[in-house]
Amino acid sequence: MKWIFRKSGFYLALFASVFIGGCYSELSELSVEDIKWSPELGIPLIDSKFTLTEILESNSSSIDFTTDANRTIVISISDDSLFSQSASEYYTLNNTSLNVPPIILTEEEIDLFNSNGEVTVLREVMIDYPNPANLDEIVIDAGEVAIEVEEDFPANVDLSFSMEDPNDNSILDYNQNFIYDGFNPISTDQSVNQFNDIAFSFNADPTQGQVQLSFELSLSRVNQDLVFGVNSLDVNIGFQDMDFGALYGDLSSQNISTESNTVQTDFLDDSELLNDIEYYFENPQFRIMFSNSMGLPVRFDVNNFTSFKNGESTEEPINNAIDLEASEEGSVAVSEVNFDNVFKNLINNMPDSVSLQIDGLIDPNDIPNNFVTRDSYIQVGYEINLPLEFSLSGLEINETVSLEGIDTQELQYALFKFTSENSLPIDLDFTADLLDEDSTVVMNLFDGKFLAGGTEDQPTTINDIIRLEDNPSTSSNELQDLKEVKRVGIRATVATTNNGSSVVRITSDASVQFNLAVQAKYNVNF
Amino acid sequence: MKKIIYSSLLILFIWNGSKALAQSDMISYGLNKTLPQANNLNPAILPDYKFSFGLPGLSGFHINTAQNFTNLELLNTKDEDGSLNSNNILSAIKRNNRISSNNNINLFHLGIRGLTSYTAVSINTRTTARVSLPREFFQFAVLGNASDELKDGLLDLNRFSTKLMGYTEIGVSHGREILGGKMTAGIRIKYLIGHGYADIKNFDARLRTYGNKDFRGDSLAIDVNQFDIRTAGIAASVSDEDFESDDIRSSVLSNGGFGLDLGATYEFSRKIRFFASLNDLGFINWNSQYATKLAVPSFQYNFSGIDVVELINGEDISVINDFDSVINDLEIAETTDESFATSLTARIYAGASYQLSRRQTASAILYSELYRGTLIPAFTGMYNFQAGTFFNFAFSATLMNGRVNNFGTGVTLNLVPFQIVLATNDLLSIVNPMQGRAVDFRFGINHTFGNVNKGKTRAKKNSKNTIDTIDLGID
Repeated sequence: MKWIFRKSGFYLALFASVFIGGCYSELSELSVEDIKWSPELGIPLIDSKFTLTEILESNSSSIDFTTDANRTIVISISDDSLFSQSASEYYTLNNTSLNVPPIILTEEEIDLFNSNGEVTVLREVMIDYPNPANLDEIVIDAGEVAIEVEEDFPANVDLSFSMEDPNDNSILDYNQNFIYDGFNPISTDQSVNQFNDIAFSFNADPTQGQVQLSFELSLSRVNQDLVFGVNSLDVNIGFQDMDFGALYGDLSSQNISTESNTVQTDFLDDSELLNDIEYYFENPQFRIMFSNSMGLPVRFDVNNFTSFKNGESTEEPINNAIDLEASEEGSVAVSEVNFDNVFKNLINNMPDSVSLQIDGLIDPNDIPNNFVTRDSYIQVGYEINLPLEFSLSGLEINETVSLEGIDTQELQYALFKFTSENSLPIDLDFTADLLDEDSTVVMNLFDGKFLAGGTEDQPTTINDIIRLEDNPSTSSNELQDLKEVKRVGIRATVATTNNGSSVVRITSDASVQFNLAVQAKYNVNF
Repeated sequence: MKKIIYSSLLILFIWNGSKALAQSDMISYGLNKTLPQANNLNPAILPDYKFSFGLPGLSGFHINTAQNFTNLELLNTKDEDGSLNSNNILSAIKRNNRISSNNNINLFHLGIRGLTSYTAVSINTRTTARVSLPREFFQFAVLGNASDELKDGLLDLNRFSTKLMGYTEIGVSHGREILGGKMTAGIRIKYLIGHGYADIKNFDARLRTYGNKDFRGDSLAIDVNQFDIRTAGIAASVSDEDFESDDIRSSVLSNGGFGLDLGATYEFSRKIRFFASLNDLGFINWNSQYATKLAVPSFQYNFSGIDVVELINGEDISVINDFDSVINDLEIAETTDESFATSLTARIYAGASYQLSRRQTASAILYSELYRGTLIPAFTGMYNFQAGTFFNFAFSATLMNGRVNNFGTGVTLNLVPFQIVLATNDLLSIVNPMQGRAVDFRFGINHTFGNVNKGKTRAKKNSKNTIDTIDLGID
């Protein structure tokens, strides 16, 4: 063995063994524990740039707007038919009946029946259509004709007759068989028929104002002969429930009387989130639009505006008459009148609503040659244009949002960075408080200006960072307190620049750029 | 001279440090006289045995899987909360982090030692895999995108790459003495059958989070430059939507190539010998029928938040639509039926050995490989103790990246009629697994017969009698 101790390789191997032994470790030392790390993530959330027109366009179904020559946004509120009345509410066709003579057989017809046992009788009669209003022409759009028939021939009777207007338009076709039982010769019948589109003219040719009736009466014997002059056929014809298509002639004058028509001006008060605001519009416009499609002149009398605020009314007399000429058939005569100054006084007094009282007279001078058609109407509408040249203050939106169970256990911090660049002349102050169940403020999240009024040339930029983190200078952990948070109380106050003390103008190109991003560090555990 | 060598080895041993990635098989180089598989490293080295063969399933395997950025000890460290200490792990992450795996299964070998030559036939199936992960990859996962440790919020992934390859080599080698025995020269010609290939090269992507030291997260920008994904063989076949099981056989066998190993030794003196080899010069041509290249074009995407107006109005979110468009509009060019060639990773071994005694040798070996245009050098000091063909022991220490970080050892033991080989190029990972960063292990059973030095020994002993015969009889 001694030889091996004299070998240098032995010592080298020994040294290597000692060295390696010193490094020795066992896998049993390996223990797998929880894996935890804390990444920091930075994520942009919101990047929005918008003009007020883009916001309005996205709500185009409810808000109309335009821009004027100075690019000022003009909000429009309008209603074309504040009230609207058709001609049929003033003019109607009354029920009427025709004077139809009885049908009596001649002696020759009697003899023919008695000798042959049957006879057929033909009659045509022209009957005037009644015209008690002394109109020139009546066009009936639709109506009913009621027929009552009575005959007392001691024979079987086959009756048919038709009725046409002067233009050969059919009004009625009637057919009926009356069977004689040998004992009671009297037979009756009633019926009602619909008709459409007939017309009568009463100016020149008298036949143009008549209906034409064509009778065919066939009698056949049962058990006895007829006696001349004893029996007859009686027909009563009435016109009822008619809608006129048009009336031409000397239509009578009619009073227009409307109920007060109210325009709501408290649309901002619809939201319970808003408190009382103060505003002033520099150039509001109120326009009333009158329409007349009747063939009669119409005079509208705008009597007064009445504004209502907190249950009290204030009347603003107008007494303005607007005359509209008779329109041509198929056209509409319109007239517009602005009441800007009156409305400016009213709207800037911030009423809850404005009532408009209008009446008038159709055909005030009783001119003789008029017309109305079934489509004729008179109508009054309004249009409010509010150029956004205004001042505003005190618009405060208060809201609470439920926020149950913020688990900040694994959150080390969160930073919310917002940046706004505003060229609208509007300030927006914002407060967000984290509240517990008793509405006690746990933490103020933000209290300051969110948007600062600027101009298109000099937009105003705001940068701020909201910190949600444990304050190292305090002994308590603020993040832990967030567990108690149940709600977020939000208060947003909006005012035009200088707190609404001066009038500003909102233009279509003025915009708001808003960015929000979050950076957070949190623990990840496995 | 001995003092110099011993001193050098001593310095290498005590110069401990963290381990770097190594792909060399130094320890096999040290066992070259008795280990048949060492001939794969240098075909000019003539072994001491006279005849050897190995059969599939017995002749063994060599696995080497390594990474250069963490170890179990790091994964076992705890922070003050008793949780895994991610900061420690992250601090050990390098700028370039590599995971590599090189595995070799020796299916067959047959070697015959002549008087002045050695001829061998071998079949090996080899797999190589490399993944390079930039530090930012881990930083993003652990620190997030808003960490101050990301300079200017930049997450730069342009150093990411991956390459996977599997092939079988059928090699015939021949080495012989020249210059009157002062020098040996050898060559191995290898026919290569490529089985599968995949790589992503030139990956260049950046995620930048804009902001400043007070707040980071104002906006995000993704910038990806054009990069290619290549697949071939089975990798292309299975990713083809028309893949059928019948394609497996043809896709793994239809890719051919050639390889070359060159080697030489020079006996400077009776005790000093120089040697060098150049391995794995070659290529594989991947069959066009099973080759696909995807060219992913450049694209950029910026995100600075959602337009809240769109959100309120219930409209489609434009930034999401934009991202969808960026992805959907990517015109990824797929090239198929176009063959391509890939080169093997060339390796260079060069060194010298000094005969300390009749049974002991000290060697110094310089190793280098060329990967993606980068030379990765390593320097190894080796001690070898050999008792004929019966027993061979080697111990090595490797200097890499300026540090001695790798120890290897191996032994061949000839238990007639078979030889057992156990070797590792990464001893520390075995004896100290908590600090290990690699798994490197060779095991095999070879059949070796004869010892060419027996005759020489006898001749040497009989030199006084001027008998100069050599007994080449098989033991």
